Amino acid sequence: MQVKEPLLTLRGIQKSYGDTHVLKGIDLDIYPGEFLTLLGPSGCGKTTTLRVIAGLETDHAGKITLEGEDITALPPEKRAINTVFQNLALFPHMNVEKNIGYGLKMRGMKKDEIARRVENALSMVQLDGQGKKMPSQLSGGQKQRVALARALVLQPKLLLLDEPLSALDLNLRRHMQGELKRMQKELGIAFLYITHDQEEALNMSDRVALMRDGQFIQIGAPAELYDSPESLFAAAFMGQSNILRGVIGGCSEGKAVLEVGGLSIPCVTHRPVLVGDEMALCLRAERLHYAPHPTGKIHISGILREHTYIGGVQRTKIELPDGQILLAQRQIDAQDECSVGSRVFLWWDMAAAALVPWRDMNHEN
Amino acid sequence: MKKNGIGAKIYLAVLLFMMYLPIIIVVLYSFNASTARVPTVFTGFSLQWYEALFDDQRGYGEALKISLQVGLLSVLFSTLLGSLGALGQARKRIKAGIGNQLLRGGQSFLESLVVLPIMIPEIILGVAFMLLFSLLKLPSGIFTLVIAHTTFCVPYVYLLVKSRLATLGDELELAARDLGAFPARAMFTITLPLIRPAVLSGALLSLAMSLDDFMISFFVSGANSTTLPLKIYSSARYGVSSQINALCTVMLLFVFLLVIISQLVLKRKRG
Repeated sequence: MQVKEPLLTLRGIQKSYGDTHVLKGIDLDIYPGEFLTLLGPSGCGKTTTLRVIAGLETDHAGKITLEGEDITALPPEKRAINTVFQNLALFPHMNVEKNIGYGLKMRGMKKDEIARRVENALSMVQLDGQGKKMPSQLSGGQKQRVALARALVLQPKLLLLDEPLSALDLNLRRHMQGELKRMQKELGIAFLYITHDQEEALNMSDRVALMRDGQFIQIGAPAELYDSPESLFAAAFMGQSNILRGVIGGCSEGKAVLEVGGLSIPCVTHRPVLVGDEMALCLRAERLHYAPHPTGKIHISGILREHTYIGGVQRTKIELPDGQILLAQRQIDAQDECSVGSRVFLWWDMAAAALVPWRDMNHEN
Repeated sequence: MKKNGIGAKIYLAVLLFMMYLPIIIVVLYSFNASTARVPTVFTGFSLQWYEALFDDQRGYGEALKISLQVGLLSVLFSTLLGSLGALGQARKRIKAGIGNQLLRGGQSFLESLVVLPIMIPEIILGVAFMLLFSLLKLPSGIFTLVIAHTTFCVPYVYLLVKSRLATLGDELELAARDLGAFPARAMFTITLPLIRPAVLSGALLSLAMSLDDFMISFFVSGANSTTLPLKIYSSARYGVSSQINALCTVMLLFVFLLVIISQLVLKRKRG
């Protein structure tokens, strides 16, 4: 994918409202046909980024190109980019057909051609025969589909989606996630999707761009972000992580020992570290295992404090000698041989634990 | 629903009776056969006062014509000015963004200035207008009436349209732009149809207020521009004749019709 020419590029985009810097000079490439998700906590600048791309924000620094052409100064109506807004923004005084046909009409298309395309769009989103209904007569999921059809019927080069599923209940959201993904693959249109839900991002995306405070923290495939976070923020934001804070006690070629509260924990590291560096080891709960007897290279033991069960998954709290609690997660299978209060030995695959600098957590707040 | 006690029913009956009694009497006495100058007894049913109204010996028809002229012109100008003002204000706010506190402060001051005439006592407005027009050497007449009526109607239209625009937000228009509509086109296809009910009810309210206004008209009308309320006032000084009752009944009917039409329009829009 990376050898292709990017469809859309953002270079040095900065945007502020008064004294608040919402975007602090971001660069981004979006490739043809990919599903890219902007993921981040609310207020991190996701929506502003999307509005900049759509042309709804003026007054920003930086350059935007679409298929190599500079579109920075183009108004939204002249960009081959369409948006599904967070509140959907269906026109309440027009029926479903008119809503979907609006963009085509603005392009000066003939009536019968509009009717034909609207028909196709309706069946694509499985709303056949609902064209005469008003938006107020539709359910949440149906409105969602109309908003999607209205944007897709224009065959944009890039579709922007601003948390389109956030108003739906969980079941419907899961269902729509699948459908969105299917449509995106079928149509081959690049999607830029915004969400603050990391599960949604990991499920749907080809790539995820993790954002915080108007900057990208890490951009990569979901597995990359999940397995090799480059920062404490990335590790903490995605999934359930145990974070062990410590100081590097020794290091050699790709390996290091992290001193954590009297324990020496061997780690592998992709980045150069020095003795005395303050680092954190991020260990996913489902990658942390325990057994009644020591196994492998890691000899850390703790006291098993609690089991909880959440839908087919068992979560276990284990207390380390220094009082820190670690969380382990596994599928409920055979009878767990360790009981609450007993001493257990922890182990994990060293490559599955990411060593990241501690300091970036400081400007978290 | 909880069943209301007898006390509540009596309360409601008395309240409604007190509210509508004067109106009922006016309507009833407009059909009075008594020809006394100030009729106090209902002597029989007659349509003579309506006939007299149409024969128009006392110039009510002329007054009605002037009232309607002034009303329609004031509605036209106040609706135009009020709606445009609200649209412009909404636009400016969007452009100013979230951060620009200074501009927003200035805007809310401006807005207070626009709606202040609602708070100013009518008699003061009336005197002020009279003073201004005589300073400008504008002859009192339909022209001055329209200026004054437009002025006190604008705030109502402005407030109605502004609150509608505030609930709409800017997202729909931006969505239209995003779908390829040029700014003017987005305005005409999305924003204007959606604020139409507010504009219309602003216009109807303005018409009702203009037709009904006495105080301000009293100060700015000239010899040949006596509006209906002024005419009624000058006639009533010599006693409330049954012909005035008939006139009031006709006006009531007209206002009810206006209200019903506006309600129907609003309902159809929502449907």
